[in-house]
Amino acid sequence: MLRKSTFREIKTSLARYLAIFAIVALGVGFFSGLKDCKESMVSTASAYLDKTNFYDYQILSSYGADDDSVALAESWEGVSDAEGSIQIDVMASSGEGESKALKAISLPETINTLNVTEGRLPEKENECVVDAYSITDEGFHIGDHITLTDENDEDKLDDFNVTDFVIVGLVNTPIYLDYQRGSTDIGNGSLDTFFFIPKEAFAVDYYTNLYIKLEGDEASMTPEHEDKLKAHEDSMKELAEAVTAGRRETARQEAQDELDEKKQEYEENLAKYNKEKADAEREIDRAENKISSGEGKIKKTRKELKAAVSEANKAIEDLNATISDLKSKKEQAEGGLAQANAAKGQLDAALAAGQITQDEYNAQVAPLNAQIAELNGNIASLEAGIAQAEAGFKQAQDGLAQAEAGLKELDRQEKKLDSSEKKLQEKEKEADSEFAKAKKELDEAKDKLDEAQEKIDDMDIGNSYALSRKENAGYTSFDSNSSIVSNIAKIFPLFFFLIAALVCMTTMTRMVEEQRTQIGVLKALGYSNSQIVGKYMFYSGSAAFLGAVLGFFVGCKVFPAVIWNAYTMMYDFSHTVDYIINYKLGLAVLAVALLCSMGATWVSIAADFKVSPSDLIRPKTPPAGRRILLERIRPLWERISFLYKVSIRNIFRDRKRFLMMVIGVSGCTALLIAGIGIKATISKIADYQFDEISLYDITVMFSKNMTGDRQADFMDELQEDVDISPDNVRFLHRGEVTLIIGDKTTDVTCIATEGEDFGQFVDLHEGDQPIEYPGPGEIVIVRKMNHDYGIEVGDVVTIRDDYREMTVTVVGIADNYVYDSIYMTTDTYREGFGKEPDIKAAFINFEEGTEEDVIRTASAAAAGYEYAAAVQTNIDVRENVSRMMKSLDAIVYVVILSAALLAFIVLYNLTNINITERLREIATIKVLGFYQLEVSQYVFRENLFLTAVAALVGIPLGDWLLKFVIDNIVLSMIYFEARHGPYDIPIAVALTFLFAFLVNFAMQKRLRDVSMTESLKSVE
Amino acid sequence: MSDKSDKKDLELIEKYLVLQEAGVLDGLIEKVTEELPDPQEPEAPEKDPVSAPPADTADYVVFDHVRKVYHVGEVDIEALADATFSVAKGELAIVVGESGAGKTTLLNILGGMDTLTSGKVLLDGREISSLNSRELTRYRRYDIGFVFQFYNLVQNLTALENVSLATQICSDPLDPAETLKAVGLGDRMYNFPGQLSGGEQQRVAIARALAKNPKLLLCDEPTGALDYNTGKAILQLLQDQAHKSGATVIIITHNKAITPMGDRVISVRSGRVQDVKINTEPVPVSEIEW
Repeated sequence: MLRKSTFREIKTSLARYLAIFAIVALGVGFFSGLKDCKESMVSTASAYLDKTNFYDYQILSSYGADDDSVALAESWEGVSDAEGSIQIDVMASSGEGESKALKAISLPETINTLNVTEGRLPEKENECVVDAYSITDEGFHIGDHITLTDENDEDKLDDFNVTDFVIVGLVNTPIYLDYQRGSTDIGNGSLDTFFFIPKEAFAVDYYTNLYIKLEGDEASMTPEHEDKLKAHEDSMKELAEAVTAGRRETARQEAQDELDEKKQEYEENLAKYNKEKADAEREIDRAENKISSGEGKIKKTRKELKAAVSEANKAIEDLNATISDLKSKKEQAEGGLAQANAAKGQLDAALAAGQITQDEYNAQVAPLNAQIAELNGNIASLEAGIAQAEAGFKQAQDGLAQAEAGLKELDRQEKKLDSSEKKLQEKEKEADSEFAKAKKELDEAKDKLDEAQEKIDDMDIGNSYALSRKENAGYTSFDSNSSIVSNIAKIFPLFFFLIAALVCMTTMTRMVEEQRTQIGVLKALGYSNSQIVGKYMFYSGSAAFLGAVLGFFVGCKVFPAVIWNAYTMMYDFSHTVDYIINYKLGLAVLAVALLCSMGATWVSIAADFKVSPSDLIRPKTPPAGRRILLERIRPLWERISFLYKVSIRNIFRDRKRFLMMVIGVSGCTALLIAGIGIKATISKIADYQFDEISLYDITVMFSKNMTGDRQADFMDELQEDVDISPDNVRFLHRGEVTLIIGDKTTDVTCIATEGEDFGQFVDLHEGDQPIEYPGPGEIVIVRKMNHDYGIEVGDVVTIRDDYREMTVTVVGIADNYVYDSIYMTTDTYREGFGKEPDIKAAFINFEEGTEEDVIRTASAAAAGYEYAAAVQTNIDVRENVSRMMKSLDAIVYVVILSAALLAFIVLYNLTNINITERLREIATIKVLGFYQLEVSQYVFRENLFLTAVAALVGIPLGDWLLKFVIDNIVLSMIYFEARHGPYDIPIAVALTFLFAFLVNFAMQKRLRDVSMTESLKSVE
Repeated sequence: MSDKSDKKDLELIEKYLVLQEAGVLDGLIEKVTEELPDPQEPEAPEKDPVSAPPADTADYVVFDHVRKVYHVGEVDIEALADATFSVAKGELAIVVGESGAGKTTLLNILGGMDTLTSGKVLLDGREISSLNSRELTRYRRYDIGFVFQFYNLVQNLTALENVSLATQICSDPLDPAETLKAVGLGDRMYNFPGQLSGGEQQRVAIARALAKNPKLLLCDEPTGALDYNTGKAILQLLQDQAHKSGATVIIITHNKAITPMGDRVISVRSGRVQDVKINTEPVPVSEIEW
C-alpha cells in the first residue's frame, strides 16, 4: 500500500522528482560521457590506424631509399614489414582552375593503405585517387584530370612518366590523419592536397620515404604500442643510418663511374688537342722555311743580276770608249785618206796640168796610192771594229735590260713572299689563340673533374631520420586533441557531478524535513521504520537510479558523438565514433548517485526516527526570527525598503537553504566560468602567442651557416621583393638542446642571439613585467618549464647539446604558450659549449599591421634564397594552432551547455523547494492582498539575491576551477595558462541570472497557483 | 499488515489526501490533531430554521443564496448549498458550525480567496461575487483584515514589521506601533514571532489585520490554537475592537460556547445557514465559560 502512496508522492511532487532525476542524469551523463570521450576517440582512431596498417616508423634519408634499403629494413630485427614510397611535390591543375601544390604519392601496398570513400583505386598508370578531405576545397572530382603544369622544373617533370592523370577515386590516408597537409618547397609553400598514383607513373628509381611496421600487434594509441615505439627508437635510428650508408655508397659509386667516364673523355680530348697543336706547328714551320728559302734565292739572284748590270754597264762604257776611239781613228784615217786623195787629186791635177811628169807623177802617185790603199784598209778594219763594238754594245745593252727586268721580277717576288710571310704570321697567331682557348677549356674541365672527384671523395655522410608515427602531424594533433579532451574530463565532470550530487542530497534532505508530519502520521498509523524509510528511499533511489542509468547510457553516446562530430572537421577518417561503454565507471557513478540521494534520505529520516511520532506530528517549532548583522548598521538598515528587509532577513534566516542555494548556484556559475574560460584559454592561445610574444612574422631556417656575406646575399634577395630594413631581420642560432633538471630531461629550442633590439622579435615578459634579455651565463626559460619541471628563477640548470654541456642560471620565466624555448646570448653559447653557434635561422619582423600579402611575398622571397631550407610564416602557424584549438570548441560548448543546463535545473529545483517550503507564507501574503507581482517579487527577490551572492561566490570558484582544469592539461609544445576573456565572467554571471530569471518566470505560474487556503491549513 | 488492512489504510489516507487537497474539510484536521471535540461544548438548542427569519435590515455584509461546489476528480462536493445571511456595519458576528458545515468555504468566499458557484455576496453595497481576480486582490488588500487560526505571521519579521507588512500595501492604514499598543503589545513590538507566546502572536495577527483599517475583520478560529485563557483574551480583544472602533468583525468558529459574545450568531450546517440570532445584549467574553 505504501507503494501507492509512494507513487502518489512522486506524482504530487513530480517537479522535484524530475529535478532529482534530471540532475542525476545530467551529472552522471556529463561525468561518464566526458570520461568516455577520450577512450571512444582513441578507439575509433586506433581501429582506423590498425585497419590501414599505419606505419610505426618512417625512415628518411638524404640519399633516398631503394629496393636494397627495403630488403635491409625487412631483415632488420624487430621489423615485420617495410615499404618504400615515392612522394614528390608537384604543381598541378585540373582544367581551368589555377594550379595547386600537390604531393604525388605512390600507391601503398601493405603499409598506410588507403580507405576508398568513393570510386576505386587506380588500375592504370594514368589513373589517380585524391584526398577525399580536401576534394571540395580543391575542386577536384572523380573523372577530372590532374595535369602537371609547366610551372614545374624540367627535372621535376622528368620524374614522372605520366603527366596527366584521371581521378578515379577519393581516399583517406592515415598519413594525413587530420586536415593539415603540411608545407612544401613549391607554390606558395603550403601543400594543398595529395594524390596517389601507381609507382609506374613515376620515373624515379628511388624511394623518398621508407615506411616500417614493427613486429607485434599492439593496438594503436595504447601505452603498449607507445612502449614498443620507444623500445625501437635506437634500432630505427641505426636502420636509418644503415640505409643512408648503403644509399650513399651506391650513389658514390654511380657518381664515380660517371666521373670516370668524363675523365676519360677529358683525356681523349687532351690528346687530340696536343696532336692538333703539333701538326699545326709543323705546318707553320714548313711554310716559314719555304719563305726564308725564297728570300735567300731572291737575295742571291739579285746579287747576280746586280753584278750583271754593273758588268754590262762597264762593257757598255768600255765599248763606248772603244767605239769612240775607233771612230776617231777612223776619222783620222778618213782625214789622212782625204789628204791622200787631195794630194793625189793635186797630183792628178798637176799631171793633168802636166806640171809634173808622168813619172814624176808616177813616182809621186805610187806612195800616195799605197797610202790611200792602206788608209782604206785601215778604215775598213776600223769600221769592222766599230761594227763589232757596236754589236758588243748592243749585246751588253740587252744583257743590262735583261738583268734589270730580272731585278724587277725579283722585287715582285719578294713582295709576294713578304705578304705570304705576314699571312703566315697571322695564321700562327690565330692558331696560338685557338689552342690557348682549347687549352683553357681543357684545364677548366680538368679542374672540374678534380673538384668532382674531391666531392665524391668526401661525399656527405648524409642525413638519416627515423621518425616514429608520433612525429606525424596528424597523429600528434589527434593525440593532443584527445588528451585535451581527457584532461578536461579529468576534473571538470567531477566538479559537475559533485554539484549534482550535492543538490540531489539537499533536495532529499529538504523533502524529508517537509514530510515530517506525514512521517509522523505513518508512524502513528503503525508503519515500521523500514517501511517508511523504504518509501523515501524508493522515491530518492528510483529518481537517482533512473537518472543515473539514463544519464550514463545517453552520456556515453551523446558526448562522444557530439565531440566526435566536431572533430570530423579535422579528422574525417570515420564519421562514427566507437562507443565505449565503461560499465565499471557506470557502476561507480550509479553507486555514488544512489549514495548521495538515498544516503541523504536515510540520514534525514534516521534523525526523524529519534523523535516520537507525536512530536513529529506536532509542527516543528518554527525557527526564531533573527536579527542579522546588517540590522546593526542602523543608518544602512533604515534606508532599506521594508520589503527588501523581509527578503534579506529571509535569506539569512535559513542558513541551510542559503548554503544549499549558494553552493548549488555558485557551482553552476563556476562551471560556466570555467567552461567559457577553457574556451578563451584554448582557442585564443594562438592570439596570445603571436600578438603578445612571438612578434616576428617569418622564421627562415637555412641549410648553411649564415656568414656575413650570405646574410648580405639573403638580404639582397629579400629586399628585391619587399621593403625591409636589415634591422628587422635577425639572424640567430636556433637549435635543439636538452635541458637537464635533476634526473629529468626535456628537449627545448635554444635561441642564441644578442639581446639588443630583440624585443621586436620576441617580447619576453612575465605578466606585465618585461624580462630583460639574459646576460652572460644566464638564460630565460618559458612558463611551461616552470610549470612542468618546477624550474624557478635562480635555479642553475644544465643544458646539453650532443656531448657538450653547460650550466646556466635561470634569470627569468617568460610567458609563452606555443613551443618550448630558452633564450641566451651568443657569448653564453660560445663560452658554455666551447663552439661558435651555427647561425642557421632568421626571424623576420614586419611592422604591425603589415598586409598579409607583403609577408607572403617576403616568405616566398626567403624561400627562393639558395640556402633557405624552410620558411614558416607565423600566419600559418597561427592558423594551424587556431584551427586545431577550434576543434576543441565542441567540447567547450558541450561543457558550457551542460553547465547551463545544470544551472537551470539546480535553480529550478531550489526555487521549487523554496516555494514548496514557503507555501504558507506565500498564501498568507496573498490573503493579505499582495498583488501577483508583489508576491513574485516577495519570493523572487530572495532568489535573485541568493543568485547574486552565489554568482559572486562562483566567480573565484570558477576561476579556481578553470586554473585547476587548465593546469591539468599537459601537452607537448603547448602551454595553457588559465585566462578569462574580458567578458567571460560577466557572461557567466549574466547567464546565471538569465537562468534565474527564466526559472522565476517559469515558476510564476506555480506561485499564481498557490492556493490561499494553504494559509488556513494547520502548520505542518 | 494484511491486505485487507492495507486497503483500509489506503482508503483512509487517500481520503485524507483528497480532503486536504480540496481544503474543504480543513476542520477535520483539528479533529485529527485535537483528537476529540470539546466535551464541554453545550448542546446547541435545535431551532426551527423557518421560525427565525432574519428580521433586521443589516446590509453591510450580504450573503444571498450562495452556492459553492468543488469538483474533486469526478466528484462534486457541495460545500455551500444555499447560504443566505447578512451582517450590519459595526457588528461582531459569529459564524458557528461543525467541521465540514461549510464555514471555511463561507470564509474563503467572504475573504475574497475563493469564488462562488452561484448567488451573490456584497460588502458595503459592493458585489464581491462578481469581482475578477485582480479586483479580488484589491478587495483583500483594502477591505479585508484577516486573522488566521495559526496566526500566519512571517517568522522573519518582528511584530512591528509583521504589522507593517500589511500596512505597507494599504491606502489608509493605522499606525502599526499604535495598533500594537492597542492590542497590548507595546513593549513587544521588536520581538520576533518565535519569541512571542501563541496569544501574543495572535494579538500581532489581529493588530496586523486591524492596522489595515479594513471594512471587515475576518477571524478564522482565532482561538483554535490557543489555550483557554489566552483564547478568551483574544476574543475579548476582538469584541473590544469591534465595539470600540466600530469595526465589523466576523469570527468563524466551531465553538458554540462563544456565541453569546457576538452581536449576531449565524449557525451553519451542511452548507446552509441554519439560523441567525441577534443578541441585543452580547455577553462580555470574560463572562463566558466553556
